[in-house]
Amino acid sequence: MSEIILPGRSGRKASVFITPFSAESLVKINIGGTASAAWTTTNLAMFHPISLPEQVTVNRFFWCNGTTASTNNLQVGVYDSAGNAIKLGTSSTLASGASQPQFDNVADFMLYPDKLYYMALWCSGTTTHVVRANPAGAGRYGREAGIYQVASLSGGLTSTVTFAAASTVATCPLYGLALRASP
Amino acid sequence: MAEPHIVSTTDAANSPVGSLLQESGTTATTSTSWPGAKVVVYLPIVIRTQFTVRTIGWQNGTTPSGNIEVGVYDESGTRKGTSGSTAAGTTAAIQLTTPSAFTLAPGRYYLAMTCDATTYTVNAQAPAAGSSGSIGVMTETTGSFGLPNPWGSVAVLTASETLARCFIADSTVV
Repeated sequence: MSEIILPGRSGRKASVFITPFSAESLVKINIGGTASAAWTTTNLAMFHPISLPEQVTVNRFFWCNGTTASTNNLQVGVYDSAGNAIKLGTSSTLASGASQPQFDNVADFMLYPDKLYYMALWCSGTTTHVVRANPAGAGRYGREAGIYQVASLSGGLTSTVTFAAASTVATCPLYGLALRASP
Repeated sequence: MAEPHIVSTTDAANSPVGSLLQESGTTATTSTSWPGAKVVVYLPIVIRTQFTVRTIGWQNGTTPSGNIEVGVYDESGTRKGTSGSTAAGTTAAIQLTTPSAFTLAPGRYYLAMTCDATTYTVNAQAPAAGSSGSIGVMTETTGSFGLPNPWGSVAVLTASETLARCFIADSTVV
């Protein structure tokens, strides 16, 4: 059966890389600037809301390593608004390649327009650096931006999570979904 | 939704580059050395409604030199239109060219820019290292000067971050 493509109400095309900073993000930050910084809390995951203008096929996950890599594992995932995982990246991926994006080539999957999704980023430790914006006001920022966090995920992202806590981390990392298989 | 009169790499609605700069609060651009002779930088944009390109422009830095070419590619790497080789113009000024008009259907595209001089500077943003590749910016170095058709061995941009200010317009009045 041929694939049915669903148009979104806006008619807009999605960005080729979807991040907490792209037009698909429901997080509006507009403060802080980007820089390299250590992940703040061991085994913490952050969840950033997005909504897509069209049906898309996601080819890869990625994150942007900062100036220190090769010490902790990272994992990207996508959840629905109820906390059910739609796709999880590889949980044992060691950060590799300082100051450059790192890709996790997951099996292609689809996301649909005008639905609320959450992109998630998890890190196993606090030595690895990622590139992130640094909004002032921990706690207040997470609540205002609609970002959740889940702590103590010692094995990485799980198939279901409970969105019970707004993020108290004054950090917005650069990571997300790539709509290109390469490069 | 109507398309704006100009689609620019600094436009948050149409460019991941613009949205990164705006949402991270780092909108200032400065004169930035071009990463190398015959280096092409591909900057992603989104076109929402049919758009006819009648003007292609960019902003020079403090030491414009050599020749510049700016064009548009589709996601498959096919060049849709180009300014053609153009001598770098006035210091720190927006430079305009009027290519043969070409029309873009709604979709994802890349604004591509290249230069044949290592001393050329462009008005650009240099975000935190790694950021450009993380928003879909690509690069290649060509054997001879000019925008290839199709593009060649493109790679994720991982060094010499150069988020150049360049744009397309649907009018010759810019």
